[in-house]
Amino acid sequence: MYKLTKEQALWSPKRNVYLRWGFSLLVFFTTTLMVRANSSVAAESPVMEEKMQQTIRGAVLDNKGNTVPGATVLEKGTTNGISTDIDGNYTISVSDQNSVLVFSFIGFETQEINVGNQSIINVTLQEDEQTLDEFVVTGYGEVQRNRFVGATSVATAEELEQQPITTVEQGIRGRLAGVQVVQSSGAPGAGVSIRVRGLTSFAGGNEPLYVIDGIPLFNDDVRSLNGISSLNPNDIASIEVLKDASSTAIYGSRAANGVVQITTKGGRASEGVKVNYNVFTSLQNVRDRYDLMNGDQFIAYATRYFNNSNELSQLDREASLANLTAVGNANTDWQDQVYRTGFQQSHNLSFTGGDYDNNYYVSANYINQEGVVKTTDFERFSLRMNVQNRLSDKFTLNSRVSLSQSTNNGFLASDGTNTRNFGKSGIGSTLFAVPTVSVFDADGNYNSIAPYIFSNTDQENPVAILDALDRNRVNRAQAVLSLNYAVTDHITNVVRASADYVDRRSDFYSPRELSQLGSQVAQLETSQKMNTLIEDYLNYENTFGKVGVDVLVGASGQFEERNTIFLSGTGFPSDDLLNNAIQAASNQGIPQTNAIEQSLVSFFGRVQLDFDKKYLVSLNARRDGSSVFAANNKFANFAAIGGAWRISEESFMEDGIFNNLKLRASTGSVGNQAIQPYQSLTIGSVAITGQGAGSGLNVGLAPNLPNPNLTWETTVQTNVGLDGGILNDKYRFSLDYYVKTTNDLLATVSLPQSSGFTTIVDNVGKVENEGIELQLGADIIDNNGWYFSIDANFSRNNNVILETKDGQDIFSGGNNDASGSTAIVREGETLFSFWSVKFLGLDDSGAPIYEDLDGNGVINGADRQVVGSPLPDFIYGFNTKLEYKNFSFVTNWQGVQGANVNNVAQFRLTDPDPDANRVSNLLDFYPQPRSDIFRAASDRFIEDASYLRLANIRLGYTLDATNIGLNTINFYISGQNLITLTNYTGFDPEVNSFSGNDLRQGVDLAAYPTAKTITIGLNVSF
Amino acid sequence: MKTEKYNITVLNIILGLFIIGFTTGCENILEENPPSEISLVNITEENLDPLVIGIYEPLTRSRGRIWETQFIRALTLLEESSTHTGSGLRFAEYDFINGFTGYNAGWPTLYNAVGRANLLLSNLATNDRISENLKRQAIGEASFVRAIVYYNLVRAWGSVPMRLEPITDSDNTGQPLEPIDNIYAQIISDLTVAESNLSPTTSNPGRATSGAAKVALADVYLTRGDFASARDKAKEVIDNASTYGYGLVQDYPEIFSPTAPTNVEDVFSLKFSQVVGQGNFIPTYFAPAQPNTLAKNAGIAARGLATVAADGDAPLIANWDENDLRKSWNIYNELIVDGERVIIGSLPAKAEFLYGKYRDPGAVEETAAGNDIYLYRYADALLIFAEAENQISGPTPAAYKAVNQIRRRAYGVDQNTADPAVDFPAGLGKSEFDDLVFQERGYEFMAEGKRWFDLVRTGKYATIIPAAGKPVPTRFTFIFPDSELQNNPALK
Repeated sequence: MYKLTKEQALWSPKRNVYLRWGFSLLVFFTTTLMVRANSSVAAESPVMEEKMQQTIRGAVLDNKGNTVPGATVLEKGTTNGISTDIDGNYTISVSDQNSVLVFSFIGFETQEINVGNQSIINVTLQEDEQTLDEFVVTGYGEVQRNRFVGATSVATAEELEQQPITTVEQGIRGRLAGVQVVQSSGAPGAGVSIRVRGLTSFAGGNEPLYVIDGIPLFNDDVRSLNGISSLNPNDIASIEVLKDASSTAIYGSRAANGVVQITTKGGRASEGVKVNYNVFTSLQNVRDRYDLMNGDQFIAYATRYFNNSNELSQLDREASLANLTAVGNANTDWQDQVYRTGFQQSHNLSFTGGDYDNNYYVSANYINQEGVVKTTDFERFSLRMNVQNRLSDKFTLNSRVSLSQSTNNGFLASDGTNTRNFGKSGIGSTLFAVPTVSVFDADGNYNSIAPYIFSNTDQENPVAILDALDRNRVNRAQAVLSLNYAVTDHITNVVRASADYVDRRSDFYSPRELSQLGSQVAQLETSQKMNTLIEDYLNYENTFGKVGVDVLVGASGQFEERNTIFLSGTGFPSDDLLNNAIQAASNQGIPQTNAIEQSLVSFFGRVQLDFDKKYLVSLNARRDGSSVFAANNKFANFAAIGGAWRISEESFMEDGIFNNLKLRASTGSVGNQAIQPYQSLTIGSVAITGQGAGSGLNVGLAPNLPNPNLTWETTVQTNVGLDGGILNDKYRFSLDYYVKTTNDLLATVSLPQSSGFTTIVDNVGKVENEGIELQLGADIIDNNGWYFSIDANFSRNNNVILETKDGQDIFSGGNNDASGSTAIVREGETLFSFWSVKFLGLDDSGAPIYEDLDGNGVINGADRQVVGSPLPDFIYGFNTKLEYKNFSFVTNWQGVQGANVNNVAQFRLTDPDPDANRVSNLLDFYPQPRSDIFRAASDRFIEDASYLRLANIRLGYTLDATNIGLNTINFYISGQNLITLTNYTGFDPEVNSFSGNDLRQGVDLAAYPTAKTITIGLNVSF
Repeated sequence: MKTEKYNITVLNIILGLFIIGFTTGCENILEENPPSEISLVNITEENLDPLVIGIYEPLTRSRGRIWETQFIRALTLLEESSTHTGSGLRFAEYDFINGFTGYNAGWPTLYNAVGRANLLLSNLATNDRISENLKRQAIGEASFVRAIVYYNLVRAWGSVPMRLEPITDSDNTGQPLEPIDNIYAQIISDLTVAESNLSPTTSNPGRATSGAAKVALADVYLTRGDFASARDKAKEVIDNASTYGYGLVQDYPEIFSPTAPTNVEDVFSLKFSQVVGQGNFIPTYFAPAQPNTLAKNAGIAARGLATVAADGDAPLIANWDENDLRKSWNIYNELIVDGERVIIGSLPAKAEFLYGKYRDPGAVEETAAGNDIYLYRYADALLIFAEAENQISGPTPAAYKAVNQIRRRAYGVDQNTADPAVDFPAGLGKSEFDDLVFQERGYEFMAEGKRWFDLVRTGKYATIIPAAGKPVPTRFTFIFPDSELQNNPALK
């Protein structure tokens, strides 16, 4: 009855043809595969039986004469291989005298040696001129860096290990040009948002696409416990951020915000098992406390306030003053009551081993981070198993499986609504609580923090809030299997299947004493998400004379099912039940369930050509079909072309100082489809009401406002870059300039509410991001055991809205928004500019003066204007590394310049009305406090949140422990956030209380404070 | 070395699954079939009734701050006896510009109901899948809701955008302000449709009836000063009270029971349930805030915010007869907890009382109070009749009879037996009678969102408000929400 008709749901016949063609191709590949597989078996089996054994021994050295452990020794043309042991020695049996041994190790040139009669072969490997990071992980493959034409930023495992991090994002903060990492708050496990080259979308999301071991994930919730917080940072081999169209177009419709490629560590052939144990413990304290009134200051202030408030009746003032005296003064420092020194520990144990054919990396990680607020913490337990099996010389199976559980206990963050407003949030109430009352009353019950007749009663005792349950838990299982088939020497086929299961659970319980927040309210929300992917791609690689050819074609299908269950109840026989027995509630809430499905079908390809290794061209394309769009707009094509010229390879550069100089250019289109499904359909959602049921409930339908024309957001990006290395990479640089223009922006457009609807998702407008990125590095000292290097990055992005629908402004925030912050999307401005009243100063009476734009004598919504941008002018970071013998000393600095933050907390805490506690320097804001001061949310509290931070400083010592049976022991002591230079008045300039909401950037609703951390750590390998 | 057979097995399994999985799903992969929603491509007899219920739903949307709370709070603040602090006080003293604007939360919900009514009315105009009977009922209810919403909009905000057709996309959504006379003409037209389409009673409490349409019409005529039509419509209802099942509930507090589904006095009300998220927030808005457990312990509400209070010096309250049982229900200044009197703390300067009209001792949470919000009670019909009749013919016996029923019920005596101690004094002049009926409305409908509109429509604000110690209003309409001004191109 309610199903769509076929005509409505299917795309056009022409598009169907492409799809069928794609699947036919796929069937062809796979059939070929099976046929070839069978024939290769038939051809090989007899040969193996004839082999005769010959044993070779030897050592592998580098050109300085050091042994090379872990180098691969392989009998050419077979899968017979071994790795050198810890002393660089190997022993291998080969078939006969005609065998050829191939010696290879990453960072060295591969050597081949004919066995002949030799039984001992010692080899000296020559260092490759290319450095260790020679491969770039691209979509569906990897490519040598010097042959790569795109723009990327990369962070290696070594860089991640410099800091004691609990989540992956922390490790790349300030390190990558063009990549801005913003934490939503200082809470343990708090959500982090990553922005690559500015913001492009209103409603389509601005998070990059995460690709973990080749599997694209939708990072659809960054507010808490986001998609990659379940990853163990110790498992990561590299993080590659793909930025330009050439490198991202292969991910088509999801790549407009850049692509973060995360590769986990694989197994390594070795003699025996390599074990690595990594442990650190930290002590954390609140970095910067709010300077609030103490009891005496509060009483003095309130007395002054009421004495000055001539607007109030004499009676009223006297009553208030008498009440002020009657309550007395307990001089409670509520911040002391709530904060603590948080203890953090992380243990990571990994094993790697195996031989050339079968090898593995397995790890276990446990992290427990106590927050600087009592009862808050973040805990993660994770296991990973990465296994590679060469099934034959044609087939390789890669299996990567990880399991994790992340748990986070929070402190009721304010969400800007009245339900969880400032005074009923954890930190907000801590700041608001008047210092004159004690935590407990004489009977041992929590005191009300609204003791006065003039108090705002919509507040809770912060220590009582500590008793509330506010927990999020994510269980996640990810598995990917890839089967690589070397069809011929030049053709490889990869079949891959993956599953990503995310089970999320949010628990909430507010005990009996929290009468304002809701006494004995239990809530439980669970959601299960299953994302499956299946794909196949074929790669052809060959060289014809000076021309290198690399061609890739493939198809994939990705499916996601999500369902949520929300249960609630109020009134329980005991607080001890928390939310574990909602059936015991005296008042059952209406259960809510929801299910969503979405799918993406894609065909993709790449052609890469190089001539003489000097001139490189790369063409990438993807055709995506997404279920979330209207029937006529299911499919879209994305493509990009890139080229590079390796100038340093030209003969005229031979004698120059450049060991590497590469000019890159690319242009192309990518898309964005990150909207909720079903928005193009004419549907009704369930609406419950008592109407028509008397005291019971009735079920109504709320019709939606469908958008049958909903289509993709497309970003066209042009990038020009220059990479260089001077004096064998002693000095290195990379410079990029880009222009990104996003069309058909997916926006949640506000409608006039008189239309009956408040919003619609629509394709409107155009936004441009233009910027430059610079990465510089220098090995300043490298002699006599001393080494000193510095790496710096700088990114400037200029965001401007070129067009909105009919030139109309788009506003954030509805009527139910208690945060006092509004953002605007307006032509000619940056996205999500702050929209507020302008503060001009104080008049003679000490009352604020605001700019009265319409000159009507009244300050209201009509007097708002653009008063700042949450987006920074530029971001930068620099890292230094000093090494002497076994000592190393590292500093990591990061900075943001020119971003504004709407400090809503400060606005609330500077209200002259003493209905709650206030900042101690309140008189600086209102020198003549009294009740008739009219104040508006204004740019007075939209602050410059520029900062420079010493994110990490670390002193390490490496001990050669081979004599005690261990390999190395590395000790370190480090500090995080020890120095922050900023003028921002809140807890921390790096804040984003509405982290999951793009329209509400840079708002501080008294977010959880950040910590200053001291860490000691130990890393043992054997 | 591996056995090659093993390879093939693995390969076959993986590839087999791959091909099967991919190709079988091919046709439907990108087709959307929302599991938790219902397609409305066609409106049928099956989904018609839920759609009609859906029209009412926005008006009963709780989670606080929406219509039933902010709108009622705003209108209560505007009663001459009300006071508060801060922006609430400024608003209570008729400073609409600098005062509280929370009532704007009701704007989108009101128009949301209109939008749904428009969508259904527009569809039913051409829909041939639905029987005439069902269509007639649905059109009647949709018209009724649209009318009462516009009636509240036009009285609160004045000239507002009036949309009678659904929007279909994000284009052409601008809608200019409609002249007030046109809005009233539309309200009357819609109510007339409802009156003729609907049946006199309903077995589903809260759904519109022809009786509700008639009382609403009488009220609209009264506001427009069309006393003859007002009287006639009210009289139709009174004369045929049994047809509509109308009467007065003998016990005044019983009308506001949080648990009773309906009662004989219920003409049209917004229905709330004792279910979290589906209840009425207003008891919490009215309940005492200090001490913070008082509201719960005294059985008023889950918690209290005291967002409006009453000034005991206002003549309406100061002159209120202690024997009028409505007084102790509508206002209070002390509460009993465990047999002990508790003085309410933190009242605004001039306030001595809080409004007690809506109380739910059984509400476990602020959004779980079962109290309904009356738009019309049978008492409305009686008082409209008394007022209109007096305006036309002076205080006739019929006018006396109507108002005295209300008086007698208020004093707990038999509604149909004359009682000189309670009844209006005989021999009143026309204007004296009018003043007393006006006062009676003040007592009867206190905190039901009617007093302000009464003050404005009669012009009595000019004398009554200053007599209560508040400044004479110079503006009579709410200010528009920013969101409407920002997003409605026709208002720029």
